[in-house]
Amino acid sequence: MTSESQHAFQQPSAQEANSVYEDARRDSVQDHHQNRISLAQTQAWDASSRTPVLLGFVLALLWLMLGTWLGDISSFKFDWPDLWVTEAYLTFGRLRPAHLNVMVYGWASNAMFAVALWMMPRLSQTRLHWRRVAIGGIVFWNFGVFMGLLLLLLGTSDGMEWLEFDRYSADPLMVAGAVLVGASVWKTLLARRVHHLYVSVWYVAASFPWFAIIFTAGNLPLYQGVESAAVNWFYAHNALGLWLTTINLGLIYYLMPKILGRPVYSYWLSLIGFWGLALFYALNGMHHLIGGPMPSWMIATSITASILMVIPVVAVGINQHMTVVGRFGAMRYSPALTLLVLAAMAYTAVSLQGIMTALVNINRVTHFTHWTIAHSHLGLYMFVTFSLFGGIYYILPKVLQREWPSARLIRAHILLSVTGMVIYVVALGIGGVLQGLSLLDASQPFQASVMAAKPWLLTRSVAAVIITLGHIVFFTHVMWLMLMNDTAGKNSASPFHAITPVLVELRRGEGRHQEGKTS
Amino acid sequence: MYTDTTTLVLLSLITGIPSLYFLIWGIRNGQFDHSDEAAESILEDADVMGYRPWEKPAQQQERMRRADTDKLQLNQRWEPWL
Repeated sequence: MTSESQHAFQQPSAQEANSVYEDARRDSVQDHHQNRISLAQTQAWDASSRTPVLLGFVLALLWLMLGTWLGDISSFKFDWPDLWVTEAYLTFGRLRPAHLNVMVYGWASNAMFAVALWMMPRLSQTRLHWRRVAIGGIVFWNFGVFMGLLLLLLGTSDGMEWLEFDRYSADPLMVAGAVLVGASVWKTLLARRVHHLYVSVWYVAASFPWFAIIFTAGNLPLYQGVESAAVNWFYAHNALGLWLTTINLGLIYYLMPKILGRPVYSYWLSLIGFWGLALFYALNGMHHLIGGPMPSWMIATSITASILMVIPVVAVGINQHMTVVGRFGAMRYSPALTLLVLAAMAYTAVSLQGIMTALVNINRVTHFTHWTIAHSHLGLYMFVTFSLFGGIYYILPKVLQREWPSARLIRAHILLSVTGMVIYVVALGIGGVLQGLSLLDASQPFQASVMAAKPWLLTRSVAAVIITLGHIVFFTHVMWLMLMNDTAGKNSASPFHAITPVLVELRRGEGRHQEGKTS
Repeated sequence: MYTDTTTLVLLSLITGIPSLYFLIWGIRNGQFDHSDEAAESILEDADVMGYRPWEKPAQQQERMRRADTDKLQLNQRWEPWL
């Protein structure tokens, strides 16, 4: 065989190569230019997930209002320690964990269920499968949260942070709920009509098995002493990184390009962000126990893994910034984008803050201070809650097929929430550092650290009131949107197009036109 | 101390090994090929062809090129909310 013929044998012709490439590409992705998603398709997918999505959002908002009130009272107790101390269920030791659990499992998790159930049919290009299973899952979950809260206020707590709900009654219901919702998400994924998994699919689909594993592991009644503390922080840190973070990053990666009308800056960076998180995050939790009686290798490994998280965090930060850069003016037109951009910035900030906190020298100052609360609110509120607010602003008009009734209420909600949370994080951050420095100063009595933090705690309470006002506005607006009839929405002269990037009314007309043509 | 180590190592492996499995599955399954097309796969007609008032002419041109169209849908009205 000559070298020429050998070459001809190994190398297909250009036509064959193109054909193979085209086949592979068709098989690998839905080429956008050849197979665009139409309005009728997205409407059909949204309709299939409508009931569980609305159920999830409504329940989430009810929990948000309750959790806000619990947080406010907990905060006021720092300023007025004798406030409501006669009843045991109103004491700080019960209200504070109740606030945390209601916000994480009641508000954020319910809203995340809704977001996941809305996104997965669109990303899989099929209807939502096992819808009733998903609805059942949300019901189970909420029974669990309700039971856990009730028992917690009555004095039954598992005594571990983020895991206070009763492990024998509330937690099994919550695990069952998450598994059922996850089953619907995964069934939809398995029935997908696209071969390729967009990066948001990775984030959303992975969240459910991760949560089931870490929540079950964290609640097993097997651990004692130091081991219990280690498992506690294995769970609590992973609940943030492998549950709350993942679905919200998936949401941001999905909505940001859609609102801007252009794809994400670098799809490769988005994949690096996900896989960096998936492979390294699970080891991070032990940095909460620096200085504790833990094996030194465990702390060292955790600090190393925490520093390694710089890679996925910076990858996500650069990617999301570069997607929006040059188009920040879009935030004036889309409140959803505004909140998603703020959430993305907060994700980068809180992650870098967390990495720094894992360093022993910084941890020595900030540990056991109010700085930790500022840090957690930067993550759980400015990142997670802003992302979910943004998602709700975008998703509800699509699902309900009508626009938000009032741009003023949107403005009021966002300005109150953002202002309140900026004051909150800055004030408590400063107060926490001053408190930490005072605690480290052996010449000062403990009382000095309390006095150093006191004015900042009062500022936090003021911020909490501002945030509460924002939540009341938001809750009112959502209820208004949900309860108003179609005619009111259709005829209203409010600037709906200011709220979502695509006019719902216009699109409804297009949809009917397209359906008419199809039939 | 021994119990601490075993529990945490096991939990980390249970959380991490499925990720590794799916990473290998994704590579073998072509999930990381054709990233440009993948990034655009979520966009609807209205996402790419709708008018965006904040865009500069060059940005509009870029989007029209991506959308493979010579005109945008100009019948959409926008108003700033802030």
